[in-house]
Amino acid sequence: MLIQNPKQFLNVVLKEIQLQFSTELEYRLQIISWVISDMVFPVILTVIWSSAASSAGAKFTTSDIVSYFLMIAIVLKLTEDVSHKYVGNKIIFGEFSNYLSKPFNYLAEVLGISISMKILRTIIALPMIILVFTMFNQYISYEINNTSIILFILALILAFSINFLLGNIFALLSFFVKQIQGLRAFYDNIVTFLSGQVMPIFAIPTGAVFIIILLPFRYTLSFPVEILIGNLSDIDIRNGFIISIIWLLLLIVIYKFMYRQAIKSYEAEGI
Amino acid sequence: MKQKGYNPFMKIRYYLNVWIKIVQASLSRAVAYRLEVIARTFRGVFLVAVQIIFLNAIAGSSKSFAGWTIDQLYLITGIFNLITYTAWATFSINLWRLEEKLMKGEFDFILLKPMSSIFGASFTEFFIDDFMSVISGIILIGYYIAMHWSEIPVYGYFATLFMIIIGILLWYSWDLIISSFDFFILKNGFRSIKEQFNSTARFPTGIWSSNLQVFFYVIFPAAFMGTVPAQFLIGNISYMFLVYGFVLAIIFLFIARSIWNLCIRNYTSVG
Repeated sequence: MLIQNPKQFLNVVLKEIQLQFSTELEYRLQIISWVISDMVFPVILTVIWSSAASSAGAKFTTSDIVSYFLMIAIVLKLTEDVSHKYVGNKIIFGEFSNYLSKPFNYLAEVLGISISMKILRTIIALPMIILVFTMFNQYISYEINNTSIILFILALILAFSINFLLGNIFALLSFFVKQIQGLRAFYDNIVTFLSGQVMPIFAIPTGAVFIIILLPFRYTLSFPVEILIGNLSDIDIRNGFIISIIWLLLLIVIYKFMYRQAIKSYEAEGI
Repeated sequence: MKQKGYNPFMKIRYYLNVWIKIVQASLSRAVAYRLEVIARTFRGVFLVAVQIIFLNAIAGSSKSFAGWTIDQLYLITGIFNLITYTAWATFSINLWRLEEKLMKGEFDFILLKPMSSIFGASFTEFFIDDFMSVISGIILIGYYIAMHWSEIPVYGYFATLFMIIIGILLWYSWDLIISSFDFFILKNGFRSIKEQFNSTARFPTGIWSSNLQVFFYVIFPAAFMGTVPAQFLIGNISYMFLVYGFVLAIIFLFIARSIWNLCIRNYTSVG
């Protein structure tokens, strides 16, 4: 089991959410700025891809693009995770020892931080999201029905879980490699590109799509959005969920293996 | 330092010598952090691959986007990468860390040094590992030159180089303006908004509406960090833009310096 004591784990997560709320609210202007900047980039991408859609021979319409990137902005808020930076820094600066002496799994703390950030930032972003959706209203088209909403929520939960595990696995690399900044920047670029944050999967050349479908990154962001905009057939959705679950299980195994190895080699020196 | 301040050339020589020493120290550190340098170099190559896929996707089968051919789009992206990573390696990270220095009370050490506070805050470290990502810009610009060398006027190279320097100066001015606000409000998050606006520079300015074009040529001159330098190499821009860019850079540097000097009065050593 990844979590030994679920009740205790949940309690720690809830406490951490409360704690993180008060910490985050200390710097309100920063959160507002982040929310604005988080919405600016999808709008930029929407304009660029809409220009591309209006050119001859494009495989997608302006409506596809607008619907995709505006939903990406929301899903990104709900699935983003800071573990690879937060835990990675704790390990590099020798602060991970604190976790080892605590009577609960450190993942509870990280999960609490992640969830509180999501709730708070989504709430603050709401007026901005409504404004942007109103601006682009004529181009927005989603497939909203009971089935698609349930599938969207399930895909969203899987997306966050995969992202959370990927981030924590990457963070564990800091036990073995102390010079992690460059690798972290590289990892961020890989995730940004392969998750569909800057490029929708339906715009990617056919040859590359097959690889992207098999990798886990699509299922951290693009897959839930694709369900909602109605671009996927039933078989595509089924395959998507199967691949997501396989990745989730595989990542749990990889995480547990890496964590065991990491703790064996851990020297709490700090650098 | 005051006694040297009377001769501007001596002052420039002094700061140049200090900066060379900083770069030398960074180079020796790079030997110790080899993995960082290797990771950033790979990242640079990866970025080129991603950007080529991205640009081909937005150009579609027509191989053009907003009136720019695919090779010209490579050129804009290459120039943007060159300016971005040069800026990050030389001053952007230093100014990014100003907030942390102010919070920890470390800014006092900079004020104690025999140099201006602006220089101390902006150029105290040179990040050779980030500089390695410049390779992504060099590859894309090199590709354009190799494919179109016979069409490029000789003075185009000098004009482009000049405009790249102008682009870096404008980038610096905005970085300095944004950083100045740290003296008033810590953790304001303004940098993240600026970063998003910066990212518009990697696309042709012509895709924006006329009002936004004015914004990107005058108020936040992102056009000078990609489109305008590229146009000089392509040869489809008036040389008046050299004068305009130069004047704009001087004005922005003056504004940035004034804002910094105004804001630094607000500084109280706390930590």
